[in-house]
Amino acid sequence: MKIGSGWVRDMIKPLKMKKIRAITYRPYFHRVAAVLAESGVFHPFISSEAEDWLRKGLVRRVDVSKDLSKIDAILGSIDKAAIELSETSSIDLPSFKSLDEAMKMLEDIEDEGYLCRVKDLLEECRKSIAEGYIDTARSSLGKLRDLVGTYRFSLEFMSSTLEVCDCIVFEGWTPAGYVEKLCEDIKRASEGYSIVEVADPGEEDHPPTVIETPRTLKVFERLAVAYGLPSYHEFNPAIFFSITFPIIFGLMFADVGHGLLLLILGLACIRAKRMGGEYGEIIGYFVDNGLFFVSLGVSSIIGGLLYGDIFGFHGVIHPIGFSIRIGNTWIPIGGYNPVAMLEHGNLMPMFKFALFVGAIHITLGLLINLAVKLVNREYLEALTEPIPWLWLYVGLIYMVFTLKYDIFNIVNLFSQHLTMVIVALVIPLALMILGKGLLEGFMEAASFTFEAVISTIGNTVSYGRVMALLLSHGMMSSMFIQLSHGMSLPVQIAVIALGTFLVMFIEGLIVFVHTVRLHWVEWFSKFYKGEGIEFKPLRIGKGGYV
Amino acid sequence: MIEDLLPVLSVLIASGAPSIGAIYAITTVGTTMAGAGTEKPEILTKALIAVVLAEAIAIYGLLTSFMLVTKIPTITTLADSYKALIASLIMGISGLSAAIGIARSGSAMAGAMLERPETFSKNVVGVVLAEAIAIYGLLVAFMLIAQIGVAPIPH
Repeated sequence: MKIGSGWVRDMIKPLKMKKIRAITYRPYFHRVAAVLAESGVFHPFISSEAEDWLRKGLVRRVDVSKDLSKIDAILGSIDKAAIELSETSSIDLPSFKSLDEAMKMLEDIEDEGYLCRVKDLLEECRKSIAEGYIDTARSSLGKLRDLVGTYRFSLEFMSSTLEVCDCIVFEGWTPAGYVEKLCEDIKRASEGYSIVEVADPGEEDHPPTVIETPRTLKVFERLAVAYGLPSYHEFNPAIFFSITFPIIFGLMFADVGHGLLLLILGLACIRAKRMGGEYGEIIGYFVDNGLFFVSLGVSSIIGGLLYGDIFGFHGVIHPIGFSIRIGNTWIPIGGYNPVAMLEHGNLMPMFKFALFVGAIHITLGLLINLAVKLVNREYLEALTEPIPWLWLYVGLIYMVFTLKYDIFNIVNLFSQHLTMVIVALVIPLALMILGKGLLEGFMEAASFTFEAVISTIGNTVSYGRVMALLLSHGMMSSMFIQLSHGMSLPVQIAVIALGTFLVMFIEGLIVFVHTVRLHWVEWFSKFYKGEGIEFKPLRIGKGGYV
Repeated sequence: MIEDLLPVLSVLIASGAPSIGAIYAITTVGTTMAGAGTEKPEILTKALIAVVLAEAIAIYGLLTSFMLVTKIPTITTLADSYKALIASLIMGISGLSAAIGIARSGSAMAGAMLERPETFSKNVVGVVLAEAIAIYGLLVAFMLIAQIGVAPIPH
């Protein structure tokens, strides 16, 4: 599968955008605006080039404030007429005063052609009122309101465009797939009195972002995008988020029993969603996100199997685990129970594992950074930023796991492990400072390198919370078991059930918040800025211009 | 004599100090949220995060004191009771300081969301970073408590 084309590209990168610039003859503008609003894929903006024209006085902004206030007055009197009409019984005839006022105001509005239909409708309305057909009058009054509302909408759009002589210039973004149809529509609506230009986004442009995450992953998209929308050149983080989020959650909320409960909750929510029905705000959240709970539940069950925990009982199932070796260190993945380890006073294996999780996660983030740079064909930036950063990070992690405490013994470090120091630290640091220095200046490079090194080390240590929360989860669930010790069986069951509920709720919420935090603060800082612009197409809504 | 008092005292500190911090943070953030919520109720779900994190501090204190209680029978030497005392102080002080951070940044976040709800994602970082201090305290306290009553590992 080739990234850059087809559905893989659409899933991980925002949709390709095209810039449209059109000039149309003024009398046709309202029709063009209606077509644009109907298409729902046109995001208006003013490019820096057009702002330059504005400064030089080649074009000027369209002043519609007078027309707008007139239209507002007309809308007001239409509303007044509608109220009068609703208060009128079928025998008494309403006074046409407000409608007449509206009529009078229509006389001095420009754009006669467009408002011709308005007049017709108004006339129709008067006629049906005179003849006593109140319902017909009501419906034509409603139509009249829509028509005037549409006109108001296109006036508002006009206020953000530029005018030169008798022509209106407007610009906007459209997803590449819709561009041809939209151009045709503009030409057809203006009966040929328009020039339309289509261009690819330039270096300095910031196109709005449209991401198409598959429907099943929408939950993760919402969580990731709550941090900030991806900008046009970034990847859609939701896809990666949906993989790492449940894994890290499961490593902290590790319990087979609690995982099963989450899984059942998720399945019940999916079923409730299928059945349909109305739910309150908070229950609605759960019902909408069934799949999310299923994924968290499965991950918790796997975590529980690794640590041998079921509803806080350790020793019922034997923890499954294996070790992998990095440098001189064996890192145990599962195979022990956290609470039992705490009682024996041996926390080092867990801490090593937590750091290992952090190292993997951050390395993944840096790899994504590299991939983004490569896909955008910024090879020089890739060579000076993510590649040395990744190299340095992996080198540093390898050194820590190989030398352990010896890493603080500076003399020993340089005398015995000089090759490792040069390969793992000196070369990538030099590459980073030199490369970035030549591109952006050495002060910039030095501060970037310093920050990269310090923040990456700090971020990795921050994954120590995986261990702390795992311990506090295990401790809290085993606390209720110890409390219920020696009581009669029904009381014991009640205490443990209450404890399970509390752990599921409070501990689940805390672990969730910390998982989000690890992703937003520690992980996103490696590859994601989230400074995208929301795609806000022109649409005719209730209030007109949306 | 003192080695009998110190462990019990440490249980008091470990559960007391974080509780004071948590209740300070919850009342501060809670009152701001109540005010902000009358204007814009839809921000409350997001602002609740600060209250949850403040409550978490009390839970960390509870866990630390619970661990200390289970360790009391094994405390026989003065050195062990010092470890218990210091572990509780670590949890207590870090919990209190985290609570101050959450109280101020959490209530400021709720207020800021009134005007501009999109500032949430950046402002929540302050709250979460403040809470991290309590987690670090918990981590260190756990490590220290784990050493109580355990024979030193021969090198």
